[in-house]
Amino acid sequence: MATARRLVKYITPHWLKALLMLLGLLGFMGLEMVPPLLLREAVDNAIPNQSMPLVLALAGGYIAVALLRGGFSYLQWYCSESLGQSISYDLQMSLHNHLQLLHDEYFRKQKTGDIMSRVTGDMQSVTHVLSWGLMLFTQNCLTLIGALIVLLRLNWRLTLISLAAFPVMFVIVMRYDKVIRPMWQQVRQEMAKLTTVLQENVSGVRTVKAFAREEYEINKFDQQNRVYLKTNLKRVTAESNALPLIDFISGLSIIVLLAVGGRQVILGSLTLGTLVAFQSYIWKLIWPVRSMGWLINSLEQALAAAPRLFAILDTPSQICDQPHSFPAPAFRGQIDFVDVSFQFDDGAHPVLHDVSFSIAPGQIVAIIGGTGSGKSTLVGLIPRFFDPTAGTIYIDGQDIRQFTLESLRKQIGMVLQDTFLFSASIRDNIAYGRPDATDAEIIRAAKMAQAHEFISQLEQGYDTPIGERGVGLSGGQKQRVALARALLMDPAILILDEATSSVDSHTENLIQAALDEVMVGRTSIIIAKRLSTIQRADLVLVLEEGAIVEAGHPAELLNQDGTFQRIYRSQMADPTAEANTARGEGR
Amino acid sequence: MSIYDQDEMEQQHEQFDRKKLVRMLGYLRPHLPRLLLDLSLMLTVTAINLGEPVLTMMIIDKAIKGKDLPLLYQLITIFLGLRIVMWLCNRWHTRLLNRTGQEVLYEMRRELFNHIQCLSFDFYDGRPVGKIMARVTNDVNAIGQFVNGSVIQLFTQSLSLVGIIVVMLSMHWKLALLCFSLLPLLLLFLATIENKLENGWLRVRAAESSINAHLNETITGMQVIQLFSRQDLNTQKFHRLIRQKIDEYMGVVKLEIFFWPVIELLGAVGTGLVLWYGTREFMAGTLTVGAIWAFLQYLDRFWQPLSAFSSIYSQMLSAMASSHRVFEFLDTEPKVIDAPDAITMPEIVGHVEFENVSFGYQEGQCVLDKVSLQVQPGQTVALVGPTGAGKSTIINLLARFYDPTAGSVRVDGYDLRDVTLKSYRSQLGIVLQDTFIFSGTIKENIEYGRLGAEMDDIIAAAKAVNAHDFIMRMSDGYETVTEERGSTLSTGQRQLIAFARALLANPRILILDEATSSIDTETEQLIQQAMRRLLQGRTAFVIAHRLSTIRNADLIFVIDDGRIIEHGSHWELMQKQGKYYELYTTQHQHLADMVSAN
Repeated sequence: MATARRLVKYITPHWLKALLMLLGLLGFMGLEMVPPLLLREAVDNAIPNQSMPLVLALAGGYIAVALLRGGFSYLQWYCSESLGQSISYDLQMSLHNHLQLLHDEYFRKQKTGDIMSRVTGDMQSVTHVLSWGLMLFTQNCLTLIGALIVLLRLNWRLTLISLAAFPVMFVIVMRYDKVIRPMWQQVRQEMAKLTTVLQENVSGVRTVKAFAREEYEINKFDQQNRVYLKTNLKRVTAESNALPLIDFISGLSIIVLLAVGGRQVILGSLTLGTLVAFQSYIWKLIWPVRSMGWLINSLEQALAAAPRLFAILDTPSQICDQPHSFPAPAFRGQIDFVDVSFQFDDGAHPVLHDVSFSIAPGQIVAIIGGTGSGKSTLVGLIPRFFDPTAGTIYIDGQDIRQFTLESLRKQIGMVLQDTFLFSASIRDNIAYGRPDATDAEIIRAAKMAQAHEFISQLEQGYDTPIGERGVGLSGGQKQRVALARALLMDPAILILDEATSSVDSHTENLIQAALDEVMVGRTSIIIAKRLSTIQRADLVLVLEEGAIVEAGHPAELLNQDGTFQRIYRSQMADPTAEANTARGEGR
Repeated sequence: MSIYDQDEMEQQHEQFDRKKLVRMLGYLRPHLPRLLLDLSLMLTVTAINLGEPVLTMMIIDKAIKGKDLPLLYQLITIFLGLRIVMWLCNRWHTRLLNRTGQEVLYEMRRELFNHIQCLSFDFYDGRPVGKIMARVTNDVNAIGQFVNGSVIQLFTQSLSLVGIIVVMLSMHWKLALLCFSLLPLLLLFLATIENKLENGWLRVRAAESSINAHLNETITGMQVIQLFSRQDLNTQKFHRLIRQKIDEYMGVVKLEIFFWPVIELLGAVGTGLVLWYGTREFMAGTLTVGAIWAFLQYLDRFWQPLSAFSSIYSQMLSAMASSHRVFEFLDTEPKVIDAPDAITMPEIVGHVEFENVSFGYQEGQCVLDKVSLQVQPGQTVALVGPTGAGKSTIINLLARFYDPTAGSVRVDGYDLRDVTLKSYRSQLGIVLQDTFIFSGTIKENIEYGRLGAEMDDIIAAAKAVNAHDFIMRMSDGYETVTEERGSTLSTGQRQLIAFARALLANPRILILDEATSSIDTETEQLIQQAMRRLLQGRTAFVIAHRLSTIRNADLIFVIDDGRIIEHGSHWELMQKQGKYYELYTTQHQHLADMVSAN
């Protein structure tokens, strides 16, 4: 019920359209009564009296009524469709905008395919019922009430007898409603699973092909496709058990009427005219009752879909502006982590514990550490992709949770480990953070990221469109575009999370040289593996299993017997390796 | 606006196409017996429906007016019997029809999925995931709805139309023809709006597909959107996309719902004509009032099937638009396919040869220019060169993700185009740049390399690439649940799993594409050790940016601008003091600086 009430709220802003739709509906249905009257007049009076002018007038009236009815039906349909579109607009917009507010962790857990099936399929079935279903429902109710009033006034006893089977039918309808609801929910769930299988397959097609696993994937999809089919067939069985039965029982009233009424006519307690009139009204009553069956069907569909939409809308954003947050002033770049710990909601292990360090404005900090040591999470805390579970992060002495998200993030330039580019031109991708940037600025950023050269070589240059995941570009090229995108922001704090891992060392050196210039006056945090990069840092943090085990100037750390020295040695272990290769050469 | 929107918009010039219709209906062929049964059920129901007024008439005229109570009960019993038959027929019909419909949908999804599974990389390159998905889900549903519901309805409605026409003609053929004379007007109206409707529906579908693509991109790229605070602009773009869809949709609907008023009007005009002409005939004494009355009743019913046809028609147009998009996928020929006489690749020894291989991803483009290389079995080959030089392309050709435009790629003397893809690729181990982790467990993800592998083998593979330790540290070990984007795992961990996956496949040829880049030096050293052991007896191609990795290779190819400019061992190339020497020394300069600084 709560779901239904909440759904109705989506109609209220569009009450005018709903009202007009209702008006169209009433006009259309009201005028339905007129043509039979005109016809009766023609057949009873005009034709027998051989009055041609009256016949023509009646014919004219008939056409005029048709024109009016046409107008009303147009109004009704137009408003109903328009209402549906408006509701779907509202729903889609609110879903879209809410998704944009949600925190990073939500997207780590939720599968893209699942979210997609909610915001497309589920959304559609909800809107369908809210617009079209509602119209039909109103129409049915009006007809039902109208016909019932007329019948009761004609002969209430006969009405009650004829409709004796209706309570049975309502029981059946209710039971059907109960049975079909979980079935529709299941159909939705299985559809979401199918979409997920599909989505994963398409996204991971390179892996599939690399392992020649097409057959396996085909079987996987087929299995889920079959499950979906079976779920649907189960629903079909329930449908076929109930709907024709509802039809049958509602039809019984006609038979009962003919039997009982016919007997009364024969016995003389009822006129034939009343019986005939009665019969035609009963027919009018049966249609709406019959259509209730499949109206319930689509209503249940929507009620199964709606909670899946609301689940998104009701997910609170864990990262959002606080009530008293204010826009951050221009950062100088002092960053302090004080006893910061972090743990994912479902995580058994803390990803970071009691991390404390200070970065002075303008410093270059290198973070190194093994796979899964928490480096990416640590830097992700600065633009507030996550909030620490304990401890505080300060920029220029202020708790970063006090700043508005936008003002904080606008001053942080970040290149993420997984490069994501949008399907747009290279220019638009670089200007992503500053759509108003001039071409000169874009080119300058691209040059710094060593991207200008390869971009210029492309046929369409900066206008070259790139695919959803920037498929047309190599990994290194994508990273350079992403770097240019971050540099264009002219950020006070620059964070590079293995920003050049896919770039060859020659290009990387060029980027490094350009970055040396860029980093002046900015606080820079770099996650890197290469010693050449680490060597430039003012401060090196060595992370191991979520804790800082070493911190200091690279030259200092080199003299300590620790992880840093070990990594350094392993990279410097080259001469021996060379000897190995020299030996292997003879093969 | 992205190119895909434009690309989708270009498809609008699509006409009613008999071939497409026949092809859509083709999906019903396997269900023909069931459909025939269903049709006969529907005919029974229609017959009972048509017969009922007669029965009612008999009840009123004979039993009630004749005051014959036993006859009344007799007729009522027949009525009840017919109703029960109708109920059972309807029940059966609902089941049959929906079953067929669901099975057709199943079949179409299966066919489409199986087909895109066979398509080569050029199909996927640059095609957003969301748009591919929209076709397998939304478009297939639209076709299914049409093929399923509409066809049967078309039959039954046609039959009742024929019945009515026959009755009307037999009652009074002149009056009947007069009524039918209005039909051309209806057809004229339909002909005028048909084109617009059809194009309109295509545009609606295209707009919907753009919305899907946008949503998909928003979801997958959320981190970047939030990082750059682009939510507002993104919302604006979404707003534009939905608005565009709504405009297109309402544009079509505006035309389509015109149909009902037109039918209404034509019906009224028909009634007017019958009244006028009927009265004349009546005055001439050739027609009774009762006949006119009955005629009008039938005229009313005459328009019913016609309006049913209209909704079938609009469903068909919508399906037609979808079918264009579905068939476009089905008709895309995979570029890389087994030759008709392809043979099974015998167990690979590992001799790889490129002979004058040229390649471009697009027409006229030249990424590789007459590349020739020879690799002996068991050799480890390093490909070195700047980004975009063509290293990945060499790998793509070796894995036969693409076929060369000229020249040939041979393994053990077999041209790759002469052997079956499956027999060849199943002997390859490939770790690509983008590590994809499927949702499932870590075990399942490693097992992807060799389905049905023993747990011991899986653990051995994981141990070999040093993934075992971190896996055991996770809450559920190998049963730890992984998610699609592998978010429970760090990038490095994902790559380790991809390594384990590739190793488990026990490949004859191993390909590593820049995959080592995200693993820290320490872990990589361990992997290098493991690899050295595992590479024994295998041919391996490695693209790695770290020269220390490459140094251990037996053979190094330095690639620049689509050509091999140097090749040889590290030692040879260093002595040559060419491009390789240059690359090598730049990386090491910094290390040297640091050492001297200390």
